[in-house]
This record gives sequence, C-alpha cells and structure tokens, in this order.
Amino acid sequence: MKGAARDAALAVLALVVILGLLVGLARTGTLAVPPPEGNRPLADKFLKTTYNWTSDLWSASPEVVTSILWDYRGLDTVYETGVFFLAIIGAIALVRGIKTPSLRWRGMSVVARTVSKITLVAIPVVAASIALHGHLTPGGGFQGGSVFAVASLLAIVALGTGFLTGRGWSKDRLLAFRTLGLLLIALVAVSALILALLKGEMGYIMQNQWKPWARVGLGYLFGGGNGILYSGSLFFLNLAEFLAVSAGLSLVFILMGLPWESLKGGASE
Amino acid sequence: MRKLAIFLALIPPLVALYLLYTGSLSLFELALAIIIATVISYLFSSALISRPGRLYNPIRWAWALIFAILYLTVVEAKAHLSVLKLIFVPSRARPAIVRIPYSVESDYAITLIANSITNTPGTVVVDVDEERKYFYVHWIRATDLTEEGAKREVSELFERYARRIFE
Repeated sequence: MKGAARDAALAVLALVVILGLLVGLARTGTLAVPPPEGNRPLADKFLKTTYNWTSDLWSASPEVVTSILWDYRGLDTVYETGVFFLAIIGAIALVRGIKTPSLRWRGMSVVARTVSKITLVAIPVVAASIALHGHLTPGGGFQGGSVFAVASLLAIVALGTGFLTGRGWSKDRLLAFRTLGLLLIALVAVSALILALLKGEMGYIMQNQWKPWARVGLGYLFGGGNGILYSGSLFFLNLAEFLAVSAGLSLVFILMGLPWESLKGGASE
Repeated sequence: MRKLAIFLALIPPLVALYLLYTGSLSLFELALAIIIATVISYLFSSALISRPGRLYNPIRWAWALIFAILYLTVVEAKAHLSVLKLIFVPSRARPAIVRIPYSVESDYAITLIANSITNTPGTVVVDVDEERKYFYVHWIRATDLTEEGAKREVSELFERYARRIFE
C-alpha cells in the first residue's frame, strides 16, 4: 500500500513537471520557432534557382533538398560519405580476424521466416525506387540505401546471419561494393572537371550544370527534347551512394549480429 | 535450367511492384524496373521459390482469389460475430491453448494457414512445431479440446484452400 501511494505521488509529480515544462516552453514561444528572418533570402534563392534554366546556378532538378545535398553543397556530402566510410572501416577493424559464420541458422518460426522472405524482396525494390528518383521526389541515395539495409536487418533477425553469409554476403564482398560506390562518387565528382580540362576550359570539382564561366555540364535530359530528366550528376551520385550505403550498412548490421561464440577469444591475426 | 526458371520467375512480380510503387509506366521506368528486379532476383530468388511452375498456374491463382473473397467476407464476418457475442456474454469465454495438427508440406501453405488463423478474431497461433506438424493455437472460446475437433472448428477450411493454392 505504501509502495502504491509512492507510485501515485511520483506519477502526479512527473505529470506536474512535464506540464510545467510544456507551459513554460509554450509561454516563451519556443514551441513554435519561426525561422530566423535572416535565413529567408537563402531559401528564396534555392527555390528560385534549382529548377530555373534561366539561372546560372540551376541544378536541373525540381527536388531542392537533393540539389542542395549533391550540387550546391555537394563537396560536403562527399566528405560526409567519406566519414561514414571511415566509420565502417573502424567497425571492420574491431572484428578483424573474426570469421562470419557460414552455417545455416534456423532463424524464427516457419511463419515468420516465410513472411520475412516475401518482404525481403519487396524492400529492396522500394529502396531502389527511392534512390533512383532522388532527383525528382523526396529521397535519394542515402535514404534508399538505409531502406535497403532494413532488408538486411530483417534477414539477420528473422532468418539468421547465416542466411546472408551463406549467399555469399561476405565481409570482403560487401566492403568491395561499398568501395565501388565510393569510387563511382569520386568519378562523378571529377567528371565535369576532367571534361573541362580536356577541352582546355574552366571547370569545377562536383560541377553539375553548364555555367557561362565554366562551360561544361553533365546534361540533364536523357534522349534529348522531351527525354527523361536525370538532372546531370544527381542521378549518378544517388545511384552510387545507394550502392555504397546499402553495402556499408548491411555490412555493419552483419557485424553487429555476429554471435557471441564467434567473438570469443578475440582476433586470431 | 531449373535454377534459371526460379531466377526468371521472381522478376515479373518485382517489376510490377516497382512500377506500382513508382506510379509511372514510361519505357525508361520499365527498363529500370527490369534491371532492379533482375539484381534482386539474382540475390534472393532461390530462397523464395522452389517450384516456379506453381507460381504461374492460373488454377492456383483462381483458388487464391476464391479463398481471399471467402475469407475476407464470410469467414471474417462469422469470427467477428462470435467474438462480438462474447463481449456481451463474457461468461461464455473459455480460453485455452489447443494443439491442432496440419498436414501440408510447403512453407507458404503453413504460413497461409497460420496467418489465416491469427487474422480471424478469437484465435491466435502462438507456436508452430515444424517437426511434429502442430500449431499451438490460443482460442478464446475453445468448444472442442481434441485435436481433430479443434482442427474442424478452426483450421480445416484454411488447410483445404492452402493445399489447393500452394501444394
């Protein structure tokens, strides 16, 4: 009885504290922060240039977020991808010398396994669609890759790590795909610059569209005229990032799902 | 040959899913869809499909459609009604976990039966014994505790259709 009274008192106290904080936040106007007025010209500029072919700064994509990520501040995103790569290298260094188990793990019950297998093939399809339309609709390489990694996680939990490793998803192979994605990003990053150098003109790293003072661009329509919009480098960067993130996150999930037995004794190298 | 058939069998449904999710039917999207479906089918098809002929058998599709209509209308309505009655006369509830045998082989058939049982109000599959082929089912109004009796009441209809669709 004494315990129940204490619980009730604590619950009331917690409620009072939470309500007090909420009222305090609301009163000081911090719950609904209007964006600082100083930022508005910036947003205005992005919205008015991204898909405006009369602007020298356009990125040929109606998706402003992707334009900012891979074009306006493209170099930032490349470095971010590099940081993420280093994190994965770190994870691999932690488990160096430890073999991923190749035996077939039973996983969950037959019902959970069967349903998981069906979703397992559906998730990557949706992930690819998210990644490959990053220049048109919300989404992109990182988002698509993260969705893909959900499929890997599902397989690890419902079907067992052995399901993936048994299909050849080895540490080395996933790392190879991850590196391939990164190399493709690097290639796209310097492609406009290389084109410009070959022509003897001005060009930039991570350049996407044609500019009056740097007259090389990666184009934006596939098939000319009324062709398919691919927004220059954005489509290829999303594709490469999708590959890199899918492989990288899957690799990390497999490492995190390593059974304790295989970690016993530590590295053998 | 068989491996190739399995690999090819998974591609059309994945292409359809891609186009459905993307909401576009242009030639470019179709080409992308086929490339993506090919890669994913290469990665996973052997885990999903063992007899590709069955997937493309229109008679099985017809049985699946008939079962879907029957299940979503008659079976669901009956189950809802019986649980509705229990809400007003709770003393009639007789919760129990019963053991129900099944005799289908394929994973898909077992899953269809188990999920059909779970999805109807009043019954939930709590465990599957794959070696001895039993479902353990929590039944809120267990009127028959024998294996055969419980099967007749709970899962016989589902098993009949699961066999026609997947076996």
